[in-house]
Amino acid sequence: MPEWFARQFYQIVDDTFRLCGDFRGAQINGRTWTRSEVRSIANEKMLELIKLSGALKTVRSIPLLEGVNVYDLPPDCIMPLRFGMHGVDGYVLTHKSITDLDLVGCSRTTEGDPTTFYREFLAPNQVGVMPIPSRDGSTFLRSSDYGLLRQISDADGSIPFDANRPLRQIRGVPFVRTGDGQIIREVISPFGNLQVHYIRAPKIIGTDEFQYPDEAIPELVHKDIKYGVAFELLKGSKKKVHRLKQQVFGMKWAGTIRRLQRIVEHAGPMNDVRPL
Amino acid sequence: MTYTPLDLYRKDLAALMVKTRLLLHDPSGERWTDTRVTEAINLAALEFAIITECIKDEVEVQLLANQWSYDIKQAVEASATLNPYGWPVRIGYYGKESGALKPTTSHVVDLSGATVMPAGSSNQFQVNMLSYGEVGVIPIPSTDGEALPGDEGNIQVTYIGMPESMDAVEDFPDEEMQEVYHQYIPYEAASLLLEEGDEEDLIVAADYDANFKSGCYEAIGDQYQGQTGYADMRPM
Repeated sequence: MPEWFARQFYQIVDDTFRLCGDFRGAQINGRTWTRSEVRSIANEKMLELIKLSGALKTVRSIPLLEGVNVYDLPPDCIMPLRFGMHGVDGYVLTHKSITDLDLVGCSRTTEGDPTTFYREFLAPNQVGVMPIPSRDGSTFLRSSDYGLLRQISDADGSIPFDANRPLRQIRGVPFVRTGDGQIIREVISPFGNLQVHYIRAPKIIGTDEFQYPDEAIPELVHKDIKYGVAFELLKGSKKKVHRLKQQVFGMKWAGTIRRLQRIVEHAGPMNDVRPL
Repeated sequence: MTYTPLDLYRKDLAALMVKTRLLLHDPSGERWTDTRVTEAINLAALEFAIITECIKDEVEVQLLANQWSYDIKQAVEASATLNPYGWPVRIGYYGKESGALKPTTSHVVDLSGATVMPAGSSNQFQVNMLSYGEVGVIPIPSTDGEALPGDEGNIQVTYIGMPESMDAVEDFPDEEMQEVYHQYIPYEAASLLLEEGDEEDLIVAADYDANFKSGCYEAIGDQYQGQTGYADMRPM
């Protein structure tokens, strides 16, 4: 249940019309701008907010294949933050520059478990790993961070696991039981695979304006999204009031991005960061 | 001897609306409806709480074996009595009187070659690889914490809370928003509404916004510990 200060998309659009002086009534088009135009700008500004503040983060496993050293990043990846192997308790991959290796005459043909990554000379949505994987990553369920285990029934009728339990909660339990079970969702074990932590893209809002912005965008900044949208809409206007508003709203929008960045990085006074 | 309790300065929604309308020069609601003024007042109270960090609350979260990240915001939302979640300021471990987990980042852990492998107890936390509302504990707990509301092996997250909404005219701002600062809320409410207007409205809105911010910074100053005159005494 969203907090009272969460804004549905139609409210953000209406708020923007009001700020721009183009409000003709709730949930209808303005004289100057249509709702579809405002929605489109609002989606762009939410992407900007997330890209600059890093508020939405997630982790995914990329299955490694023997002999393949270049992989696509997840399709919703704005920026990778960390590459690791074998899951959260595995190890981190450090960055290597291909140019540095070329300068010292190193080849990159070694095979083994990857220990470094590179992004040089690749497409923006790709990552390369070194050494070249010498084996396929595991799909063994022993230590998966992902997936949902619905239920396991033992042969004697007992039910050691019931209801929807994330697999990560039962890591380490050897799956030697017999009985009926059902794994729902695709499951990839982190073991032997690459994990990427990254800033992900927020969901796009379409014509259903009763939706809320992406659930991981803090509700306490929903009220300020209108400033970014109005700032964008008023660009290029020759009206004096629009130019003035553009300056004011631009500053407020920059403040919103800064505030969100501080909030998501905030770890208390021991970390000496104070959101404003 | 008589004294004036601060309660007398407390403003309910009705009083806040009256002052906001005065600032807007719209006493009879010709330009803005009650609904819009109420909404602006609530958003102003929210802004006050964000800037001053005056509302603090605590939520108990059960740690689970082999699980490193916890959704604190969801834990707050599951409670019917806690203020809405803002951001964490302290993460205690094993109860309020025990020590706190220290903040770190996964970069520090990675670069120091430390492990986050499951161990008996956690001593650090990080937020830098997680989305808003989540924290990760290091090392990963190897056993479940005590079932709630027990605090053994669990974390207690003190967080900056957000105010509850004022909906009825007799509702007051959140108790942790001190009475002496209630007077500043209408300035921000009026500013939020006036910024929809023309050039002249914008100038007044900027003025009101400055008034509000000044009240916020005053409140921040007053929150410092040891706020008696003696706190300023330094050796000559």
